[in-house]
Amino acid sequence: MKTQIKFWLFILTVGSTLVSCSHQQAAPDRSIASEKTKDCWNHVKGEYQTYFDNVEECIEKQDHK
Amino acid sequence: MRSLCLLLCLLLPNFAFSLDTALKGFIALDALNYEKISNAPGAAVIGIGVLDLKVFAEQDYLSAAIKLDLDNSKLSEANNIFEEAYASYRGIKGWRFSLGKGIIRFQNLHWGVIENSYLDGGSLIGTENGWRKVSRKNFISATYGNRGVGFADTFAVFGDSTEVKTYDNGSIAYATTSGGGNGSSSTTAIRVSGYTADNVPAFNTSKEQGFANKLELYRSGYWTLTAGQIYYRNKFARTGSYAFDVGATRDADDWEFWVDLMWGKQSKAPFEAYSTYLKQEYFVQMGTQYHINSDWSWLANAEFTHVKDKFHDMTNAFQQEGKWYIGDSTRNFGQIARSQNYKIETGAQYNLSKSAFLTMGALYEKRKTTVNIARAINNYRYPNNNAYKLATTISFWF
Repeated sequence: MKTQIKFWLFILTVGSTLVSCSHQQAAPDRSIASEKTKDCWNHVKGEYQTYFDNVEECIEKQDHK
Repeated sequence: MRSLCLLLCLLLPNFAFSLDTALKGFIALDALNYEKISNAPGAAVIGIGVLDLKVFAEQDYLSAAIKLDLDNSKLSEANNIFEEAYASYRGIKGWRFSLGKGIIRFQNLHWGVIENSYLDGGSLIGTENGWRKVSRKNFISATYGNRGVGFADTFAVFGDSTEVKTYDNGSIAYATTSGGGNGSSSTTAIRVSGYTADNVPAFNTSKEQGFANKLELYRSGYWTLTAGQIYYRNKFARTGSYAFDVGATRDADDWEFWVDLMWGKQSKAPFEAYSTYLKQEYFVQMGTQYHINSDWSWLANAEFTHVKDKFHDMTNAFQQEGKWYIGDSTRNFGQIARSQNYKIETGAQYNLSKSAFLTMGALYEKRKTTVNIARAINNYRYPNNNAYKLATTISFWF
């Protein structure tokens, strides 16, 4: 009986994980950035006062390309 | 126990979510600097110029950012390790709402050649301008627009992240220094050095109100024009403080330009840091960077600031809850001081890699101060001096 419960709990866990993963929205692919995003990162300059603002702009574009 | 573990395994997948994070940083190293102020010995300066790290986290339309202030903070004080910590929501098209602690933008800030802008403390001799980069403020802001639509306007409501401590009956907690009396009479008044202040995670509009707006116009792909206004009132100050700023930046692969003009008035409570009864100031910055080729570029930057500063008059003692207090009357006796600073910089920049460059340059700065009461000139370390600096800095960003 105990073994049966463990077995079904295991099946439920694996099943639940697979269902959850299959419904997960795919994260943006960082390695193949769009041209627009690439262009944004290329224009980030080492100017101290605006560096982090430019970075934030590109991160947001990358996230919603 | 085993059942608990199994239950945890069963439930964990339901809490799975995607989160993207990024750690970005900016480091400038003073490799070989030499600074000389007239009537003071010259010295070489070698070490870290600036060091900033910022963590970004993104999930769907929500984002958060924390900027660690590793190079310029009293880390032992509460909430002081981070210069910025805010969350943003961009779920409505064209809008961005932010809440937290950070920088209030209204100026068109730009680093010079080898030294920071006067608006961010970049001076060898010292300046008296009060409206500097407004950072470490608790704020809530709304932005409409982006580069795509050609403009962005940000409106922010803010307050200080430090607050003057008051007792339940409303009386002020003063920081006092030794050498004074017991406060039983005006001649034996207790000496006040400042207010007792606390770092607070939220601001209270009954004690202070701050509003700022910055409009950015994106033109012809290269130019960005800015117009900003700011207003701040602390209930301990005599009157409100405000400033207006206009700026322009050209960001291109050949010529870059940056211009900023600011005018403002400022009033601070008598025992606040950098206190003033009323300060009126002007600021101008103009600079350029010409990219000779992909490796080398030439830079030039010039700045000017004029400040008319009327000081508080602390020659008379005052009473609170039956005790007498007195401020520093040797430095504050109602005098008026006018000071002008200007600096010019030029230099060359060599790209070491895509995200690192070497800057070699020279800076000359001059300051002139006039006062209406002669002894007031003794309050300044370098009232009428000039200075120069030769620098080689290495900057990295990642």
